[in-house]
Formats: sequence, C-alpha cells, structure tokens
Amino acid sequence: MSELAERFARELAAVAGTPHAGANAAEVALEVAGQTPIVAAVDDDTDGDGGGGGVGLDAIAGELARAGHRVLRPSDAWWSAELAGAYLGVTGCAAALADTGTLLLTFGPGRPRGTSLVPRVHLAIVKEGDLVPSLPDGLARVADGGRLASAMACVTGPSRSGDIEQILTLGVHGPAHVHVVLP
Amino acid sequence: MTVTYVEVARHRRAGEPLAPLRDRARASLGDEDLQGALRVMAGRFNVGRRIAMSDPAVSGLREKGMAIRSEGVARLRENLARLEKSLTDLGVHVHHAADGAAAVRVISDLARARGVKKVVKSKSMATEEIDLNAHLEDIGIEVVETDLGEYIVQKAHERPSHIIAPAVHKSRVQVTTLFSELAGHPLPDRREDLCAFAQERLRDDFLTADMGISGVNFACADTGTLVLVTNEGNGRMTTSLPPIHVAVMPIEKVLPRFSDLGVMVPLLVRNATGQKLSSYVSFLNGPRREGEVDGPEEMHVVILDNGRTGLLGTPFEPMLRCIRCAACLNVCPVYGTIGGHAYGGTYSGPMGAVLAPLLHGGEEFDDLPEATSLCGACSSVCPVGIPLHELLITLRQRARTSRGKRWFFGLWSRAWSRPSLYRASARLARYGRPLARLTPPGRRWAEGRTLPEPARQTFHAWWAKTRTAP
Repeated sequence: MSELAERFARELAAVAGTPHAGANAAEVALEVAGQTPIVAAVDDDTDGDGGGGGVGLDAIAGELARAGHRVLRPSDAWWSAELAGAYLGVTGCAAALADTGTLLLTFGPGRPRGTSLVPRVHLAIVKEGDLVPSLPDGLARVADGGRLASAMACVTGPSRSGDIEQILTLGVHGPAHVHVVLP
Repeated sequence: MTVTYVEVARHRRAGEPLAPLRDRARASLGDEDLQGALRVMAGRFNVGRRIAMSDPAVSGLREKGMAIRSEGVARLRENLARLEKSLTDLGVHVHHAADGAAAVRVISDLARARGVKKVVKSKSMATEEIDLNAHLEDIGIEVVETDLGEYIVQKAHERPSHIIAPAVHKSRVQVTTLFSELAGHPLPDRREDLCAFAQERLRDDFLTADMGISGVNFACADTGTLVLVTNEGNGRMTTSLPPIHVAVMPIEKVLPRFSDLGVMVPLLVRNATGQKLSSYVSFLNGPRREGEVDGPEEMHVVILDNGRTGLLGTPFEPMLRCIRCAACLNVCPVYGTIGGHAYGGTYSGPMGAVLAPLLHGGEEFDDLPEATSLCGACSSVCPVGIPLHELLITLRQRARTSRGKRWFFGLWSRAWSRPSLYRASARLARYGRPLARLTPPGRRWAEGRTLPEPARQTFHAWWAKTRTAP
C-alpha cells in the first residue's frame, strides 16, 4: 500500500468513513449490499479524470445483479424515477485527496450527481493514479483538462450535521456510510 | 419597555419596530435555555478552531487567505465583470440586484413565470438579509428550509442566531419538543432520531420541488465556478435535483482565480467548524449538459449589492473580505453572553455589529457598535485579518448620538479647552464618583464599571510643589 493510500485510509477512518485497502471491489460491493435484495445505482465505467481506464464498475454491476440485487445504470430510462429508492450508489472518482480522506468527483454523462448523494450508502473505487496529496493538487488535476465538468464535489466521509448542540451526527441528507476501496 | 426572549428571537418582518439593544440584551440574559446553549456552543467551536488552525500542515494559510481576499476586494469591480462573463459563457443567467427589494423581485418574477409552487433552500445568510422566504410565501409559494438548523428555526418561526449554526440557541430538549409537535407524537430526544425525523420529512420536498435556492460561499472570476461548503448534503440536493437553481450571491464572494479555492476552502472550514474539510464542497459550473441525467436545466445567479459597493474606498472596505466563518462570534464575550438574536438583525457578533449599521440605512442598528467590550479577540482570530474592533470604534465615532450626550460632551470639550476649568475638573475628579451618582445618566454609566482610584493630588499640584522646592 502506497504512502498516499495509507494516509487516505487513516484520514477517511478519522471522519467515520470506511476504507477497504487492497480489497476486491466486487466483493466489497456484495458485502456492503448485504443478503437482502436492494436497489444499487452504479455509474458507467468511465474514468472521472478522462485518462486511464475504468475501475470495473460494469463488472461490479454484473456481480450485484447476479447476487439478486436490482441494478440501476445512468442510461436506464427509469434512473431518475428509481434513484430515490436506491440503497447503494457505486462510483469511481476523479481524484482522491490523501491529506483529508476526500473523494473528488466530477459529474457528467454516465456519472450523475445523484449516485453519490441520494442512496443511504456510497461506495467509491479509487485507483493508484487517483491519489494526490491535497485539495490544491486535486483542483489542479480537474482544471487541467480545459473545460471544467458541469458540477464537481468533494466528499469527505458521510453526511453529518452539527446543528443540534454542535455535536456531529452522521447521515442527515447525504449517505450515512461511505466505503472506499483503495489500491 | 420590557421584551421577552421569545419576542427577541421571533422572525420580525422588515419595518416592524425593534426594541432597544439594552432591552434585547436583558431579555437574553434572563433566558436560561439560551444561556445554557451559549455555554455549550462557545466551548465546542473554539476548541475545534484552535486545534485546526494550530496544525503545522496549514502554517501560512491565514496569510495567503488574507492576501487573496484583499486582492479580491481591491479589484472587486474588475473581478465581478470577469465573473459575469465566465458565468454567461457557461449558460448561467446573471441578474444584478442593487438592493434586497430588487433581488426579491427577480426571484419572484422568475418563480411566477415558471409556475413554481415549491422551493427548497439550502442555508443562505444572503437570503435572510433580503427576507426572501417571507416574500415568496406572500405570493403563495411553499418555501422549505432544508439545512437542519434552518429547518428548526423556520418551524419555530424564529430567525437564525448564528451565521453557521442557525439553531445554536436551542437545546436538544427544545428541538425534541418542537419536532414532537410536528410529528404529532412524542419523539425520543436522541440526536440521531431528531436528524432522521427531519431527513425523512425533507426527502420528498427535494424530489418534488420546482426550484432550489442557495447562497454562494465563493465564486471564481476566471471559471465562473460557484462553490458551496456544506456538511449535510442538503446543499448538493438543492443544487442537483430541482429543475431550476437560483444562487443568491453578495458581490464580495468573488475570488480572482479557481486555484484560490485550494486556500480559501480549507481556511473557511477550519475556522468555522474545526474540520479539515467539510463533508461536502460543491463546485457548480453551469446547468446540466448534453447527455446528463440530473442537474438543473436552468441556472440563475442574483448578484446582490445591498449597500456593499458603498463601502469601497471607505475605512470599512476590509469588511468585504469577510468569509462568514463565524470565528469572531464564537470568541466574542458579548455574543457569548447575549447570543445572536439580541443583535436584532441578520448578522450577529462582531461582524454583525459592524455590518448591520453599514448595510441598513436608518438608525435602527446605530446602538450595535456598543455591543462590544473592545477586547479585540475578534480581530485576533479573524482568518482574513479584518480589524473588527477598530471598525467598531470608528462606527461609534460616526454614530448619531443623543442630544443629551452631544450637549454633555460639547460642554466637556469646551471646559477642557480652558486651563483653569481643566484644573478645576481634575481637582473635582476626586469627588467624581459620588457626584456622578447624583444624576440618573451618571448612575447608569457608573453601573458595572470599575473606575481607577484617583491620585491623592493632581499632577499640576504636584508639579507646582516640586518646582518651588529648594
């Protein structure tokens, strides 16, 4: 495990996210989905940063379907209607910021804003080339390709709110659980 | 005039009279729930910020942030022009609003034209400033605040009392009571259950809203990127799910460059909540594009002036650097004692005491610069180096003072311009305290102040004696 991946895992755990270092992505997806059939929204297997290959999202979608889960893909006509009922959202990322355990996501065709936002659980697959030290490096990477994506987001652990007595409580609007498969 | 804390906290429509600061503060001091909540708040926020800002990984961050904000404000007009061009190139509709009424008109007209029935909002102090919710409700639109703190405040018919933690004045017990009333049955008073209750109720609103309205934390002049810093995810939902997104952006939010975000976002988050990075940072670059299945089809930015341009070139220009982190509220002994509602306006704490009299004409907030001990804690923590307590002194000098005060200080100034009267007053000072207590204004002034013991003899008397000695 690289130093960056190690740091990412440590920081993600510190903000109540769950790192899976060196794990098989499909196995993690099946474990997170659980035994009872659920609806899983899985992004297209395009790489967020435009370079390199995908991270095997098609294969993960196949495994989830074989295990009896209902799988939603962005190209499905019923995506928007059914996303609200999804329990799990699976994405790649454009960059992973080691200093803060942050996923930098870029949205576009095949990579909707909702996959990492609406379901209760978010699973992201990070590959070695995605890892950078910190936010300025991540921003430089996504700005490098010329035109910025229509929307991007930094995701650091699960959704939380400090609005009641300033104590952070997890899972208010966004996902309550964030799992990240690291190289 | 006696006011209760309930009245102080209540959402007040523009134009409704405001009780004097002294009465508002007294009402806050008498509210036990508020006092308890304030003690909890100050501890949690200040410890978090101190730890986050003493991290060696961010040494120099504050200086960089200060430089970026100073540059942004010094070239504000130029940056705004660049931003407008970048936004237009991205397909975002740009509207300019000279004041709150103009901003409200733009948004109401748009909502009417599109047949909007329901609006979801993510937390925005700019929309509080222009009282947007009340105006939209007046034309029959349902407005739903989706930030948990704002939702609590909206359901209680109150105003936010802290710029990043709107419901900081409410205890968990009070939230439980409020939510139980909404639910129609008693809810357990666990934070997790209260959050889940609000989330469940708001989920449908996100999916059925016709318009999402947000504020803006930063806007990048070179790319047109609008940035929202949030923790709950309601900001992402508000700007992703409804077909129309409207962002209300006060003019000072503009940053010169996209790359400045690498400094400004961590600086804001560390000072606001003590986190290294908030759960979510959204970067919005226009409406959804060809081939995308979500994101707003239409995006509007309302650039709000509301008195800000008037600060350029004045001693108050540094106030436009403010990034609304609330560090100054959290360290302020006055805020920590009277809470945000007693300030009477949208913004509270030291930044509010400076901004309110500047942004609102009229005399309503002229007494706010008195709501400070001038200890300077605000200036020392401000991540962008705004000399807040000095600005408060300048505002005090400028404030329209009462006729009685003017008469008294005029008399004083004339008396001290004559050596004989000055000397007489110095001799009188030894008896000043008992004398001051004879008059009601003097008694009020002396109340709660510890005055230095006067010397046994005046300097002049001592000098006369020393000089004639052999």
